[in-house]
Amino acid sequence: MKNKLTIYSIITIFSELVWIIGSLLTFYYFYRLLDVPEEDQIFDVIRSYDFLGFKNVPETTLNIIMSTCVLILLISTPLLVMNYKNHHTLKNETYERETGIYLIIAGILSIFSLNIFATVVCILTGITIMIKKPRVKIKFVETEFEKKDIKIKSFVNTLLLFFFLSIVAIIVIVPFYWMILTSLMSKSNFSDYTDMNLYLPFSDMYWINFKEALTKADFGLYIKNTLIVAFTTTIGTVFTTILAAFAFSRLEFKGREMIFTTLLMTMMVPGELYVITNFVTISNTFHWYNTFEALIVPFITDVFYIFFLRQTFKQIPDSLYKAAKVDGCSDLKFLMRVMIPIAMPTLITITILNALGTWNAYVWPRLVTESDHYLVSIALRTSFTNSATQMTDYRLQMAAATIITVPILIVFLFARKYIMRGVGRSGTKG
Amino acid sequence: MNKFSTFKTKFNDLRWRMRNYKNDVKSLITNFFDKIYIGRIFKLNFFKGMLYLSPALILILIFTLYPIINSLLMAFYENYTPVDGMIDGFTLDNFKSVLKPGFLVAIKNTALIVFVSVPISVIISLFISVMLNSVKFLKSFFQTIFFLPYVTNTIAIGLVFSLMFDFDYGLINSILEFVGNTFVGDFFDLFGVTISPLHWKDSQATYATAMTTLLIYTIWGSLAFKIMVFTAGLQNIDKQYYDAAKVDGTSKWRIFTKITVPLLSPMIAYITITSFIGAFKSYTTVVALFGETGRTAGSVDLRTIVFYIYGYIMNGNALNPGELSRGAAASLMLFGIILVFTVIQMYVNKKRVHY
Amino acid sequence: MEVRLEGLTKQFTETIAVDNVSVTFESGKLIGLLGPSGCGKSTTLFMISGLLKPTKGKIYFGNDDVTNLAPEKRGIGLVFQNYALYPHMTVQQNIMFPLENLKLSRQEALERTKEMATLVGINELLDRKPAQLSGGQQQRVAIARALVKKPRVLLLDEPLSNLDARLRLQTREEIRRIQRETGITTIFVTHDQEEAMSISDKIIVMSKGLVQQEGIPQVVYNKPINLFVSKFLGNPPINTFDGKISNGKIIIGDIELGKTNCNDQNVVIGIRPEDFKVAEDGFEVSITDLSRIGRDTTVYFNLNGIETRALINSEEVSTVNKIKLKVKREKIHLFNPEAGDCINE
Ligand SMILES: Nc1ncnc2c1ncn2[C@@H]1O[C@H](COP(=O)(O)OP(=O)(O)O)[C@@H](O)[C@H]1O
Ligand SMILES: [Mg+2]
Repeated sequence: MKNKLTIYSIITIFSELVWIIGSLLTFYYFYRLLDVPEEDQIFDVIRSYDFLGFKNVPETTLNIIMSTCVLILLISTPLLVMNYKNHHTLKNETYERETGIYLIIAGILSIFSLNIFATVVCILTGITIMIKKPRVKIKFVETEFEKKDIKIKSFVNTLLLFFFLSIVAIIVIVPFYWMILTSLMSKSNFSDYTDMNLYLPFSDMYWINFKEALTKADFGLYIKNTLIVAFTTTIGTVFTTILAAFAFSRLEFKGREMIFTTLLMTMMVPGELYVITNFVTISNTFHWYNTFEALIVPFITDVFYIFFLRQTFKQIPDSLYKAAKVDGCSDLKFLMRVMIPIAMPTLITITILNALGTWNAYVWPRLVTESDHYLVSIALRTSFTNSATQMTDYRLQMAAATIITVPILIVFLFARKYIMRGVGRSGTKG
Repeated sequence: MNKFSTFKTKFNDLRWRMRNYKNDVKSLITNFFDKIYIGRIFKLNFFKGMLYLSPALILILIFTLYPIINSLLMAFYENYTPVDGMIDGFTLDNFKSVLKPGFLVAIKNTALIVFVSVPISVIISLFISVMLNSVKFLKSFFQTIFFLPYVTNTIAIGLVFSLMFDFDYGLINSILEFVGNTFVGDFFDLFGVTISPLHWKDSQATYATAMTTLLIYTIWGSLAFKIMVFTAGLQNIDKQYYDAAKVDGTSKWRIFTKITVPLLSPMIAYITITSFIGAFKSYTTVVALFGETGRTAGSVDLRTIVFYIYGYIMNGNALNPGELSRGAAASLMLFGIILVFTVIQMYVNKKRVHY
Repeated sequence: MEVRLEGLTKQFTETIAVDNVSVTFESGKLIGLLGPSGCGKSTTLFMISGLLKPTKGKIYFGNDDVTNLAPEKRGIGLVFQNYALYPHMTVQQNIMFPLENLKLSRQEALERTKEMATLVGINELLDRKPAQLSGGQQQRVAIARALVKKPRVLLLDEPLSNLDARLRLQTREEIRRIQRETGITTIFVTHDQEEAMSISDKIIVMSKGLVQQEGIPQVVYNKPINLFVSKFLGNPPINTFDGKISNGKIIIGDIELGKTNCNDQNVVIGIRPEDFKVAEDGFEVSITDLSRIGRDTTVYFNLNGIETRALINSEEVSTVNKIKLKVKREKIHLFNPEAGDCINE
């Protein structure tokens, strides 16, 4: 090891990793322990549990422990990602003064995840960096009159700007917050609608709702269905798309442009028009009603993706292809070794958009399947409403909604760049 | 092929001799391929091209091209039964039977969604993007948040809205009640407006409240995409235009109307067309809020055109003779409306969009 | 309107783009701000325009301190490197745009627009959009737009760099003419020394944020204050040699060039190609290469291990590959090898 900071950073990363895995395991342990209440129970039953030699521990205690675990995860995971990214700069000593400041802030945040070890090391690293990179003093000559006026005016402007942006941000965030909040409420907490419940104490966060939603309404099955469909259609789409885009961008053959133009024109026709015939094809010709084939086969290709990937392929200079030909490289090899690696970002975008599409699919699965092959969207809409009383169990519905929304949000936060690249997707959604 | 390979050997030879003159070699390669190689392989490659295309092409033929033609025909079939594929001939009655009063309500609902939600969301997102573009601090943070609705499940968040607009449990009514009890409520009372909880979407909801709920959700969900496209567009505008305007003492509002909006007009046109098309096809938003019936418990009808199309297929209806033809007719009408509308839009844009 | 900078400094987060610059731009003159790319010319110009706030220092227009004045209140016209013409407006709308901000009557605005169009010679293009114009025409529109407000100072940021070689020659004469006709104080930023030398009343040479030398172009050319300036001005560039002064003689290798009063020391010797003269009593060199362009011939030879260029009247070059050359004393520039400053006698 060359420098002290590298060791510090490895220690921090390691301790955070241990912390995250620990809290995950703890959460899982208690989650396993929870008993799902009987069907049609109207009131909350005070349950208590025995574990690890403790007797009669009330559920609220478990709630506190599990909430704490989640809090730790929420804080530690981003910090871990950040520290991991910082590791390189620390190793190569390319850090700036800002890195030190970030690390100190990270250390302070670590306190809230109860990870004292990481706190100490982070702050230590931060201070070391701050000492090594002292502040560069820039002397600003305060220029007299007028300037004050301008400053106040622009300050007020900025403040207003941030005020409006924050309001919009809150409006965007509130539904998500409300969803998660409701998904954690107990029955009594939820029906106590006279007070506005804007937050929940840790002891009242009923994580059991998630278990209930997954087991009672068979929601686990629907998630499994969706994953199967998403996985297969995505692999299929990527495969067909690569081959077609390659043909359209590199191979020269008669009728290529004509075929391509025809395909582009189909993009203008609304999907509703061909759903009707496809329904007949799937259920009568192929006899695939209520099978996975019906959900998968029609979706393992997409004209838009072909178009999208072709654009990327076209940007790869033709001379590269010709030079490879001279060296006796076959088309397939060229595709695998040159085109695909270069077009990787686009392929990732396609993968994510396609998986998202399946995750959000509603109409088609609804048309060609029955309840055992439903995907999450349909199950969400139908499973939590009692068919006899028309009453919806909002808490469980929100728990299920949280289960299918939060993973997507996490994927989005990590793959923001790739998703945003593909937003041009003809403005359609759902 | 033989001739080709001798040529290739010769050529390689030449290449090695001329390795110092890389540029010459490059142009040689290009010429060589353009003249000889491509010319020969051209015919040979039709088979190969098709091989690469076939997986995608076969699927597209079965599930996109054929359905378009078939649905076109189906709309004119008489008493079409999908099970045996029998028809009694051709007719125009399908279109007639689609155009019952309920369908006209659907057209009205769709038109309301299209002509209210699209302009409002375009304007709001334009302003938000301009504001977003003028901050540096926390910009990507805000950008990330504003983009969230794009990636979330329409049904899931629709259910959340449904809950938030619930009469008893909803956040919106809690806020209304809270605000109504403060001085703001008293202030509005002076004008005869009472701020109090509303029946947004339950059995006592009126058409106005239910439609408002739907519009709010539609707008909320459609902002993300537009903001993203607009911010991307704004970033591409050369900063020097703004510097030039600043030197000339242009006011902020004038900069917005005379520079930003015109320079963004291709984006605005694109967004408007795609959003109009999307809004004409509204379906899942309504399902998320009001269920598959598309009606409130108090029978306020909020079904859109697409509801009618799917109505002919769902719940076993498809098996009845003639139902699918009516569905095809309805979808053809939707296609027609969208097409006419898109053409008009493009025509208008051509006149209005600058450069 | 005279423009005066006093100790002007601009610091971006890490770089000091402009460092304590104090210069005067005389009223009614065309002044070239010259220097290699990245030396802080644009930054200086943008501070004068008010688009950038200086970190330190003051800017005076005449006797007014304008350091804290907003750009639109300074009365300046600014032409950007890529013109920044609004692509969605016609030429006329572009030129009129600044006037509309001033809330002039339409009649007057139109008149002034016409007047400017005539001045820069784009009368027949008023209804076109910028995309339909050639580079040179766009350039003129940009100048017209900058001048239409009747600014006190005209600022041009590399106005010719986006034009092809022939248009560049033509347009720079045009700029010169417009400046003469209007008599407006004009600051002209460029990295092309030839451009600046040919049309400026005065040039200011910058490097790394610092002003190196200012003065009338010919004076700066003949009396460069340091090695940088001497190398930056002139095409083909100046020849430099490591030499020394010993016993009052200037010596490169074993060749004696002339006499000086300076103390003995090592020096860098600069000689411009056109300052070599053929003379019988000169030092002999063997020519390695020749290129003849019209009346002048460029002669290449090796002088003390350095590839050297000399510009000589074609008639004086004989067919033999040896030639005798001489340099006048006042054309020999001596520089301190460490600091690069000019050594004066
Ligand atoms: N906005 C900025 N932020 C940071 N550095 C800048 C900025 N603008 C210019 N610089 C730096 O300042 C120096 C001078 O830039 P500039 O004035 O544009 O040079 P030039 O003489 O080519 O016009 C350069 O090193 C450049 O990188
Ligand atoms: Mg510049």
